[in-house]
Amino acid sequence: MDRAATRTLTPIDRAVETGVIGMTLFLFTEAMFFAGLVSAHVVLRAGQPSWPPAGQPRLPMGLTLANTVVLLLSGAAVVRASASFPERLDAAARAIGAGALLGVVFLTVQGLEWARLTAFGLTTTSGIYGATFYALVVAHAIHVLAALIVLLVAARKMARASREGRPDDARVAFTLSRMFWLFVVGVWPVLYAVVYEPWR
Amino acid sequence: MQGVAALVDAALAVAHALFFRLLPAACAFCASSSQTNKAAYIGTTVLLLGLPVAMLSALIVWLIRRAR
Repeated sequence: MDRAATRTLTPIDRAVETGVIGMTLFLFTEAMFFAGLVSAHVVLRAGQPSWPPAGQPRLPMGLTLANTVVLLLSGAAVVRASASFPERLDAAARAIGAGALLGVVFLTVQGLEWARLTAFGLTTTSGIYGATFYALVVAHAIHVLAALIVLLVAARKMARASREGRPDDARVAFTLSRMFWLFVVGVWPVLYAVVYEPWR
Repeated sequence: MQGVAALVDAALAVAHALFFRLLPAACAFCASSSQTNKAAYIGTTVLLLGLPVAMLSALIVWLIRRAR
């Protein structure tokens, strides 16, 4: 008999997966991490006489807006996977795979954008503008990369569970990877608004 | 031990350089001497205090509801 079956279940255990509570608390800490970075950016930006500072390149707003749409579509693909899970596990795994692919596109475009900005002289050491820009967007990109790996692991588990006809084996992986991915997708529009200031 | 003492001294020197010179003209609320970014300080203070309270409250309410 396995350990999970023998331990006493509390009312909360019966209602919510322990992993879901753990992931929720982890995402709370992540939210505070990004709130801290955003706060630092807002305070430093407010102390500057002009923004962007003179001689610094402007950020590619249109390209990043299109990239934002790509990331939101990847979130939509993962939400769509929820509709197929667990009845049509292979379809859910395909939707997760599509979401991951769009995530790769997002990261690739971000990387190209940084390469271009670096060529224009915007680096982490070029001033407060470059430092806050890279701190926010690179921190987010690292999270996207981590969530992408989690998503791919979940897709693999789902594909295996589909082959073996045991959808319950992939339930926790699917739920937790979806939570993490939707977090990194959801936090990006906030960062885009704060860093790129599209209304200006 | 000497290394630790040197580190503590260095940290105190940095804290002194960063904050103590601001204090005579500091804002009572945010301890900043700058009036231009006072709104930003207040906004971010509210965000950083309010966000964890809101998130943990929501989690507790959700868990209580699910457990019933």
